[in-house]
Amino acid sequence: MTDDIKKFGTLSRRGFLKASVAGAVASSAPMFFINNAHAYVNAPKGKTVTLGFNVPQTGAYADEGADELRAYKLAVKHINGEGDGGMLNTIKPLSLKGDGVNGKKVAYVTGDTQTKSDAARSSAKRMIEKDGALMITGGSSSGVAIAVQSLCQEAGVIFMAGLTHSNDTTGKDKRKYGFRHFFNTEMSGAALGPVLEKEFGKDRTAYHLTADYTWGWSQEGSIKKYTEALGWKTKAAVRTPLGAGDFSQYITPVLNSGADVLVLNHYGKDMVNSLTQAVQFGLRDKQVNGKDFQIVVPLFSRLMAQGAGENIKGIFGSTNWNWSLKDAGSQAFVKSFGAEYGNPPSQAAHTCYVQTLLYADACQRAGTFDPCAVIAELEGHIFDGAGNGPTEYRADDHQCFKDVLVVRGNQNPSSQFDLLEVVQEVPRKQVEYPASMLGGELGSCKAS
Amino acid sequence: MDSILIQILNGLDKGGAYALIALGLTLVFGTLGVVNFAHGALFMLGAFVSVTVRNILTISKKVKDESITFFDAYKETPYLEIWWGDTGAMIIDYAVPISILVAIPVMLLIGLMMERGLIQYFYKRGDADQILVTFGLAIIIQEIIKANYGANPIPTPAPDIVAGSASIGAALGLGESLVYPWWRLIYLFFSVTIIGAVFAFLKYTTFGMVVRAGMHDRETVGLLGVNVEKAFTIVFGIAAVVAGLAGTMYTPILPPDYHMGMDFLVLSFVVVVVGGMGSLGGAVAAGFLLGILQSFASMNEVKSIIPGIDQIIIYLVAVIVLLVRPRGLMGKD
Repeated sequence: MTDDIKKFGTLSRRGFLKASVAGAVASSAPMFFINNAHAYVNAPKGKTVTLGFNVPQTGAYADEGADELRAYKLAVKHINGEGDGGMLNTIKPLSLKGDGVNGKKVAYVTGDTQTKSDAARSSAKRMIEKDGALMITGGSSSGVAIAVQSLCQEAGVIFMAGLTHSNDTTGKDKRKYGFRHFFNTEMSGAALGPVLEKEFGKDRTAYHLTADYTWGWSQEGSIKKYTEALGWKTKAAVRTPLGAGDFSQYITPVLNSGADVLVLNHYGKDMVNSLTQAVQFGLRDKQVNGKDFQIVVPLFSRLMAQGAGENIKGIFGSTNWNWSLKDAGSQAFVKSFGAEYGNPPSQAAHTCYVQTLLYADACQRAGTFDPCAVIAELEGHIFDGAGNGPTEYRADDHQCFKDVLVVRGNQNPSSQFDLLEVVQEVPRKQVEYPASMLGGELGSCKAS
Repeated sequence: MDSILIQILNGLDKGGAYALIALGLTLVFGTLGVVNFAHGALFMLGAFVSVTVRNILTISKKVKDESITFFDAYKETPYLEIWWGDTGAMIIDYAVPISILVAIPVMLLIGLMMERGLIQYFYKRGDADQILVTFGLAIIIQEIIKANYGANPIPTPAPDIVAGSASIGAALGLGESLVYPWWRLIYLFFSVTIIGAVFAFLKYTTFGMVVRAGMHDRETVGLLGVNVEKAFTIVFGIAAVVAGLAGTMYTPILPPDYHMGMDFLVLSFVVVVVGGMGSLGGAVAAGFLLGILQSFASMNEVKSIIPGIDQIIIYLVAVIVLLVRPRGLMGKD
């Protein structure tokens, strides 16, 4: 014991001196002399950086997923300097030059979320751990987006959300590593409310059919909030399983419920099926309470309109973006996308394309792929030329604020793709809300 | 009153599908003693006969869409419409009814091939072997369909003439508000007709008598010089046709995808268990009964008392029947 103390005392004195010198040298040396200084997850070592595109290739939202993937591939082409450059020519400010990012070419890996949270997390985990993905993006379901965003926060990898519309993504479940360009249900409600009042009046009784997961609940809540504020009553709000296929058992109770508006809080194929079946059950031909029965689809997309065919005509909803917009950014993107794939892009494709460019541009501005530096560049970033007018990535919740579109199924389409008529471009100030309203905590960046 | 009638109709059209699949399952189990887990795949294959027929009828020529100026876009115009105009369009519109005619020989052939090519070798093997091989077969069929048609549901609409709703309230003197989609009424009528035809075939034909006798006592019928094995192979083919037709006709109600058979198979097994294993009448009765119960469980008045009951009602009934009457509603000890 005495020897131990003696030994400890001797070594301690010498060790202390050595350690002090070593510490002084180390702390005064530039950080890049030290191996793995500023190391972060999947820091690129070669001439390429890998991005992970995690989209639903099967399941209720597979059509959106396929279009998202097309948009991601196009964005990679444009970033690497192939094709006509698309929105690289219109977004301002922009540091990308069409020669990759920070001197490296962009590569990608893909995964199938199957529109299921567990499958999406496994796929994202695989892309981070095995494929070395530096950033994950995608999702056509808020349940999936929230699950993957949480995984990315744990992994220290940036998540650029694709199509996710639930308030929770940038509300109670927001994360420091997660960013959303797409609008949310609060904005849909704020944009749609005045239009619904103008078209259908204040004395209406609504019946909601709601997809039973975070997005459906969020949209139901937002639409109820804004329609009840108009004076509408809510007869019932019924939850339906995601991917139910046959909604007849949920539609039949609507027929004699006394409601005169059916709000379909469904998306993708679920919406196509529920709307088609609602029309088959004669809802659009009904008169209730002395008024024409109406159907509202708060979140609309051209792909859904395509699937629903004639049934969608005249139905109101909101959308993040539509290919018919005339601004330079939208037109540049539609031209590139159309030339590549023979179809105009959907709103899902648009948001995914813009997210990829915004991420790449933030890396270029930061001069590094270090997530903390990239996050700092994205927070509060103000830009224009991406199709929605002047846009801000709000630092407090990582939600983009921009104009929102209220649309109606086109009664007289001028082409096979002209399925949505833009009724109103609702200005940003009408749909903006304080970040504190939706709660949540961003958390912190894992500084290296 | 209207609400109750609508729920009953809704339950009956769902029940029609359950009953048709369960009927085939019971026929195969009753005759061959095989619990066929590939039976749902036959339902799915029937639905894809409809998709295939529509795909063939809509083989198209690409024509440049001049209304799009941003990029080169193309419209697809089916050759049938180019060649025959409105007549061609009408043929495409009737793709699902035409598919029924195609589905009968195709499903019969698939059923016979399945039985002769694989299942006959497992008659004398244990239940576990039979379940494994038929379940494996179902997965193989599923994956073949997925590889050829993709994983997503494919819309296959009913003919325009029956795309809307029938005013059954006005017809029955119950008020104009009672309407029901034409195709669902047609599906209900179709299921009842097919079920009636199968029962009549088994009851009033010599072949049916052999099958029924064989279901009771296969050995004795064999000793009388009847080729029971051949008869039962044909029964397997008939079961495949019934399941296939159920799937073909179901496509306008639910756009088919490769997994739809598995979704229905689980429900249909519950139907067979509730009805009583081997009881044809039990399978049909349980199919309609569970369809109606599921429909009523979806009413808001019911769900306000027991939330979520619509999702579990079928399984709840199965548990109760197995506890109270393990042989099923119409099964024999």
